[in-house]
Amino acid sequence: MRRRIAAALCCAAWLSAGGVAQGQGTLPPGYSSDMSGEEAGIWMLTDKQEAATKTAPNLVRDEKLNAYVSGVICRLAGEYCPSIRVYILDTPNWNAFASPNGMVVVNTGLLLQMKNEAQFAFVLGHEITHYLHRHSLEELRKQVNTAGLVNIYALAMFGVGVAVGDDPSGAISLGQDLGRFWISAFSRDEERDADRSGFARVTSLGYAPNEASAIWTDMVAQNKADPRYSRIVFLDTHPSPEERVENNVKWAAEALPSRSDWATNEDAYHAAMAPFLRRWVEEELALAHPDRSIVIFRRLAQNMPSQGLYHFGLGEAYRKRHQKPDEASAEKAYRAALACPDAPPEAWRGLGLLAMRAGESAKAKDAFTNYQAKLPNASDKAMIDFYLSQL
Amino acid sequence: MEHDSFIRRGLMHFGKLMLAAVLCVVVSGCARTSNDIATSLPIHWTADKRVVLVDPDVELSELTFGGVAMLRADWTSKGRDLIKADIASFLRGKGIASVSADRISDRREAQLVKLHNALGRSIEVNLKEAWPTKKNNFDWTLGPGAAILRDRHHADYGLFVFVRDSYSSDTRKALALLTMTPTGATQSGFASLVDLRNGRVVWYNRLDNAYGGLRDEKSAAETVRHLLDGMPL
Repeated sequence: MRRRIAAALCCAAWLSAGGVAQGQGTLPPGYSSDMSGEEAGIWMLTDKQEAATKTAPNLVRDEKLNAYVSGVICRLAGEYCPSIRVYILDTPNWNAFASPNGMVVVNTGLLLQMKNEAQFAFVLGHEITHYLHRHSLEELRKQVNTAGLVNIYALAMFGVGVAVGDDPSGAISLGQDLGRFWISAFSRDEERDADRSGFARVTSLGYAPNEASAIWTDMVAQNKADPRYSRIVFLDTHPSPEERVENNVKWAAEALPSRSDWATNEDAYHAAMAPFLRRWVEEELALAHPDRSIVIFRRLAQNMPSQGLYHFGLGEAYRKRHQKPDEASAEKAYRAALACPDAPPEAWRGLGLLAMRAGESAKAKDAFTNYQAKLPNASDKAMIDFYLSQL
Repeated sequence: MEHDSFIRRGLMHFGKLMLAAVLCVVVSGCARTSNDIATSLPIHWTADKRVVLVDPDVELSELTFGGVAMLRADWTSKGRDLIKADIASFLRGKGIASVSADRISDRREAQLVKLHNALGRSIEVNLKEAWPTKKNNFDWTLGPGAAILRDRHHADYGLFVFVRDSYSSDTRKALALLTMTPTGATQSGFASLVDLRNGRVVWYNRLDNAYGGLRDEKSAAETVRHLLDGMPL
C-alpha cells in the first residue's frame, strides 16, 4: 500500500510538472476524437451542447442566412470545411465561439454590428483557429496542471507553516490566486494566437486587412462610453481591445503592400443581413444599455445601407437614456430616420413621446397621428389612443 | 503559543478526517446514501399503463490531482447504458411495461428534458429549504406540454433521470490520504415520475451518495436501487 501511495505521489508530481503532452499543434483535416482520454470528454460535452443548440428555440433556421454564413466560414476553413458546423443564435450579445468538436456559434448581436463581410470573416477566422489549434484541450490541460501545482505548493506551505509556527492560509490562498492569474494569462495567449493566425488566414483570401483593427476600434469606443464597463486585467481571458487594435494595425501594415485588390464584400453582407436588421435593432435596444447602443447606432448610421433603421435605433437609444441633452439628439435622429426611405413608422411614435414628455401637445398629437396613419393596426394602438385622448 | 494552538487545531481536525479517510477512501464499498423522497399525488396504477424512460442525463467524471473534474467519455457511455438497463429491469421486476425514449432530437421533446433538469434542481433546493409557497405543497409540474411524450411514446408516465458521478484519480486519493481530507468525489442526481396527462411531478427522489458508483454492473444496480427506492409504482 505504501509503495502504491509513493508511486501515486510521484505520478502527481510528474503530472503537475507538465507531464501531460503539451502543444498538439494543428488538427489534421477530418479529425475526430476517440472514446478515451481527456479530449474525448471535451468532445462528449460539446456534442451534448451541440445537440442542445440544434433544438434551441432561438436557433435561427432561415435557410438563406445560414447558407450565406456557412459559405463564408467554409471558404475560410478550406479543407476543414466538412468538420465545421455553424449555428446562428438569435441572441443580442456581441459574441461568437468555437467548440473543440467543430461547432461554431455566431450570435445575431455580432451580425448586427459587423460593417461588412471582411469584419465578419476576421471574427470567424479567429474562431476557426481556436478549433484548429485545439485551444480548449490545451486550456483544460493547463488547468489540470496548474491546479496540481497549486496543491503541491499548498502542501509545502502547510509544512512550512507547521515548521515555523505560522498560519499558512494566507500563503496558500495567494498561491491559488497566482494559479488563476496563470491560467488567465495562458487563455490570453491563446486568444492572441487565434487573432494572429486568424488574421493570416483571412487576409490570404483577400479580405481587407484594415477591417480587423476596425472591429476593435469600435469595441474600444463602446467600452469608453459605457460607465458600467470594467475589467480586471489579471483575470481577463482575452487581451484588451486596445491591444487587439494595436496588433491588428501592425499586422495590417505588414500585409497591405502584398496586393491592391483587397475586398470587404460589403454589399453581399448587407444583402444577407437586411431582412433581419429590424428585429436585431429592437433586440439591441432591449439590452437596455443605451450608452453602448448610442455608439453602435451612431457608427452604423454613417455611410451604411438601412440608414433609416439605424437612425431610428439611435433615436430610441437617446430617448431611453433620457439624460439632459439626449432629447434633442433623439429628435434629430428620428428626423434623420424619417428622411430615409426605410424609416420605421415607429420613428413618429418616438417623436410623439418626446414631444409629450416636453409638454408640446400639438407636436405630439401631430407625430402620433402620423404614426397611426402609417401603422393603423399597431400593437400599441390602444396606448397611443389613450395618449391622444390626454393631449 | 499561537504555534501550539495552530498545530493542535490542525491535528484535531485531521484526527476527525482521518477516521473518514480510513473508512471511506481506502476501504472501498463504503456507502453513505441519503434519499429525499417527495410524493404528492396518489397513483392509481393499472396493468395496462406504461412508463417511458426519458433519455437519462448522466455524466461521469474524474477528479484530477488538483481537483479539476474531467468528463470521462468511456465511463459516461458505459454508466448511461448500465443505468438504462438497470431501470428497465427494475421496472420489469415490478411488472411495469416500459419504453425508452433515446437520443431525443425533436425540439419540443428536448425542451421538456431541459425543463425537467431545471425543475429537478429547483425541487432539490426546495427539499433542503422550502420556499414559502412550496411548504406542504408539492405541486411541481412540467406543464401540459408533457402530453407530447404521452402521444409519441404511448406512455402514461415519464421517468426522468439526472445523475452526476465523480471519481478521484489515484493521485488525488493519495493526496486525500496524505492530508486526511475528503477527495471531493460524489454522486448526486434525481429521478422524477411525471404524469404525462398534465405534466405533474407525482414522485421525486434525490440521490446523494458520497461513494456511489456507476462504473460496474454491481454498483450501478445499487445506484439505481437507491434512485428508484420508494417509487410508488
